[in-house]
Amino acid sequence: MPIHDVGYRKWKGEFTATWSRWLIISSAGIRTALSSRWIKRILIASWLPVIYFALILFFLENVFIAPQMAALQIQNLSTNDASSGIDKAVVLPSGIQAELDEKIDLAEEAVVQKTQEQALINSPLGQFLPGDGRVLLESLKSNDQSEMRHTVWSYVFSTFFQYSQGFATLMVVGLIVPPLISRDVRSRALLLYYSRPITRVEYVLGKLAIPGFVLVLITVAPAMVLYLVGVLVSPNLSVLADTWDLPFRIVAGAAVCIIPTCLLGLLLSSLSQESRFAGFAWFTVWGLGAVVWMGIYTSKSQGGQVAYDSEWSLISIYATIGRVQAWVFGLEVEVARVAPSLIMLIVISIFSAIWMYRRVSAPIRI
Amino acid sequence: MSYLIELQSISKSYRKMVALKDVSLQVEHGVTGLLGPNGAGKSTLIKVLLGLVRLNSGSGTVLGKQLGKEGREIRSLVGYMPEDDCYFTGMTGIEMVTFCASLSGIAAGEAMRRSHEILDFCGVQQERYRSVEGYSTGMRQKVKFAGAIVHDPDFLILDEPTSGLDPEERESLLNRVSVLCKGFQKSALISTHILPDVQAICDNVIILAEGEVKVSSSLSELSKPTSPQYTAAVVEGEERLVSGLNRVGLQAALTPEMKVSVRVDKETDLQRIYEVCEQDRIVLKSLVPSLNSLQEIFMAAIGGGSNANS
Repeated sequence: MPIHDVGYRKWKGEFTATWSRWLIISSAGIRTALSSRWIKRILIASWLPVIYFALILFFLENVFIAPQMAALQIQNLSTNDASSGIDKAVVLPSGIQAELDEKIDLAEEAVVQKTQEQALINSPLGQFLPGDGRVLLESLKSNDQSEMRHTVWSYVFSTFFQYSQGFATLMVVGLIVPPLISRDVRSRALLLYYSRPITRVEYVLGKLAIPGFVLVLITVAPAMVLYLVGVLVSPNLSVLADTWDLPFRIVAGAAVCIIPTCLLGLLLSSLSQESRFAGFAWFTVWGLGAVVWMGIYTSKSQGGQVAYDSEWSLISIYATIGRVQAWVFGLEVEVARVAPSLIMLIVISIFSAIWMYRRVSAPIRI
Repeated sequence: MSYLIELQSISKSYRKMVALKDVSLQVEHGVTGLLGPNGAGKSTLIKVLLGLVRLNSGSGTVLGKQLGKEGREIRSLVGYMPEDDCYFTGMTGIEMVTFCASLSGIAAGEAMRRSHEILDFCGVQQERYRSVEGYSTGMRQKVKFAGAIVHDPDFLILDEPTSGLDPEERESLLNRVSVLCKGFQKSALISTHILPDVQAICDNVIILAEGEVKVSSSLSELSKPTSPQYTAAVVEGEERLVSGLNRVGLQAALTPEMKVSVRVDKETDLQRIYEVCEQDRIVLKSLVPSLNSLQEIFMAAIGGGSNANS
């Protein structure tokens, strides 16, 4: 009897479900992507802003929002009492009257504090606040405490996505996506995939899930952790009632970023056998658009000809995604102003998907 | 009787180029050789059999599964070894075969075990731990073959399986195909330009030319001589034998293999061959009925073929 039989043996196991085969492509790609030292570094770096934004949330919740809400509560109470026409001296017991006086004093202090807030935002400390501080100022003037808090939080998460995570997305897509299809084209591996029980759609889905998963790790996951930390550092749990929809908006905001960027990246990858050309094209499309747009914005905004939400911003994918994300987070309420950006992203996604599908179908068509 | 492949009037064209023209086939289980010059439609036929391309017209079945409707089921029962030098980048040999196994539906841990087993069968030793990008052509062929059979398919489609292999490796690979088909009741379709490979292991032959099936039959049937011809091998004096046979009124000629081919119309003609050998003192090694060579069959099928690449 041989010690080690090297003859052929039949296999009698059970096959896995056919619908799950695309996950094999994804998991192999994700393992390869995460083994890259640069991707690991970017992953770590992309989580660091969570600390910064958590501090921002803590600062806003405890220094601005909580006193502001207290002031608004007192104002509302005073207004209600005045409008009811009740003589407090007659109706209210003396202890309650004293307490009310004390709260009115607090409200007056809050008004003073609000003036200080504006000064603070305009101060050097305010310079460290992300993005356009005017949005914050506007929200702090609101009389609706829930709306004020919601706006502030939405602003923080929108900024989190647009700045730190936007840059991380650029880098991750630029490093992971270019070789995904181009290498398969170069090594003629597409027929090896298609000769298995896998469709072309599943192949694309499997490839799409690779950057998609890593981008979820640098967008949705840290944003959710940031949300939880924000809730924990808030002075009261009313924050949950005020911001319950934010986790959903985080997912939607991430989708706005992930879907078009991954599809565009995969299209560029499918267009060349050389992954470096695809990488170069990706950074050029993203970087050149952003630079040209910023150039137009800074050169003409002085004369008041170009607004930040001008249609010129469509030449930059980065700015276009940012505008749609602002709409997703409720910071932009006029759909008509966001519509061109939204349509642009949809067109990019559909165009990329169709063209890429044609490219990966080439070995079958010939 | 259920056929391995059954095609009814299938046609496939790419824009204006007709790749397959009204092809009808009934292929029995066993090893089938697919022959044809370049551009004959062999690759398109293979893609049709894998259920990868949409037919312009016609219908068919592979292993009883409908083409066009059950492509995924067909591909789960078929092991395909492509012609091209193709591989998954960034993987070692064992990783590539494991990946093939996983894509075919074998669960992760089992896929690794099965891949080692198959690489042992294919004669890939420690090289399995090296990156496939650094493999020689022969080693890549072995790994591609391993990837094609790792999920224990019932039907193998092998596109130029022996190209780039040295004679020893070529024989080993053909032996493996024989073992799988004869010992494990698998069927195979071998597309190749190397006619001796077909003669060595195939039971049936399909010859395609210009998108049409020119020949589809069993090799034994095809090899039967169209005229009653015998081939004689002698120790020495082939030319003397030819002239002696011509002298007694028999049509004889020398073949390129230095054998004597002689037309035998009657039983008595065989007796006359022995008599000529005895008279001219020629030692006869063998005298057997001639078979049509595959090359002759192929050339005849494709029309004499200036475009034949074999």
